[in-house]
Amino acid sequence: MRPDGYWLGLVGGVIVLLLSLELVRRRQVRGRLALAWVVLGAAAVVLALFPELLGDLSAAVNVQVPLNLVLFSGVLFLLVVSMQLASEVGRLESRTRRLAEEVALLRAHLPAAGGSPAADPSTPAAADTAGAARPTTPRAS
Amino acid sequence: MTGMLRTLVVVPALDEEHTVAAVVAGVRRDLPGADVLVVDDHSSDATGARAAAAGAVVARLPFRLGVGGAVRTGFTHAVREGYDVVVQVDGDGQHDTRHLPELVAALEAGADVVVGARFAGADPYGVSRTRRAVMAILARLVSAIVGSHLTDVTSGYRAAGPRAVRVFAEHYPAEYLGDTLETLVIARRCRLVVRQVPVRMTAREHGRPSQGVVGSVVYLSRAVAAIGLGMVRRWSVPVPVEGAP
Repeated sequence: MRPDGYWLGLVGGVIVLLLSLELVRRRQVRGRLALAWVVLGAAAVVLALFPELLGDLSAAVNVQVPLNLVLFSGVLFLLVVSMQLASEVGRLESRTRRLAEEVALLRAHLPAAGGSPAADPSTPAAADTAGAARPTTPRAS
Repeated sequence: MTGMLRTLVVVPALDEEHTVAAVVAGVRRDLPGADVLVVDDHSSDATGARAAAAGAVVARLPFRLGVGGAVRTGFTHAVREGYDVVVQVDGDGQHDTRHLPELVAALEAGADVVVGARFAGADPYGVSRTRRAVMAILARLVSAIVGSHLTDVTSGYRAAGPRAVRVFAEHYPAEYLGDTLETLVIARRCRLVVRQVPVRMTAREHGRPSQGVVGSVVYLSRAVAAIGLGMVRRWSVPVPVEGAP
């Protein structure tokens, strides 16, 4: 007999595994984070196929209710992933900031971009906020 | 007076089309040897054009970075172009440019960072009593950390000498209050000498935010957080290139 929720667990695990593999394949997740997701998906499939493993595992680490082990590992996994993401966001932010500063300085040296005192005064203002691209400095925002 | 030192005046400006030209003109009048770089923090008005027309070099940021980002752009430019001294002056006109020579003179007298302090002199400034108390607490706190008597630690009217310019081109926080409080802590952590010079400031037309008691408490906590960040973060001191042009 299959225990209750067997098929649900299996389908869930397979979906997680396929999704993570697809993300890795499309190169949308990279490096350690990709590995973590694939491992998580694989673990979910294995546990769904052999639920008795969970009991053994819990006994091995002295957790009385096996489900608590799953919840604990899940929370831990999410915490680590979010910390990883936070540090990644911080790094990207500081790089974007540096790039913005570089762009500003580069444009200051372009005569057409309002840099030099002799530049034409029609440069910035309303056209920018409206998103209209100027011929000399197209923007991608 | 400023014969030996190449000086760059950095003016961070956001939507200051009515005042920026006067500020640039004031700088050119009061510190004739200096170059002026206006960092336009992606203004939606004609700030950049007005500044350029007034004779400044204008660096326009591709999106809004805040005062910290704008000022660091200026420091980076200063390091690349070989300026010895950077002075920050707000584009809204609240900083009286007539004090510029005094700030630079204080650098020449041995300081690395000079803060133009508005409470040091006798000029009363339109700030509520709670806010004044909060600023006094902050001034005490930062003075103790920095090891120098400071009375106006949130002033954005500052001058930086050669060693400070290199540090600030690398580290200049973009967070709220990071550009004022945290930079002083950074200066101390990088063993820079901080001094203050009394200056006169004109009240800004658009009032400062959060003047009430609750607002002041929030402000104080954010300020303490900024100081704390400055204390715990790692600040590498850029290798000094002594004797290099």
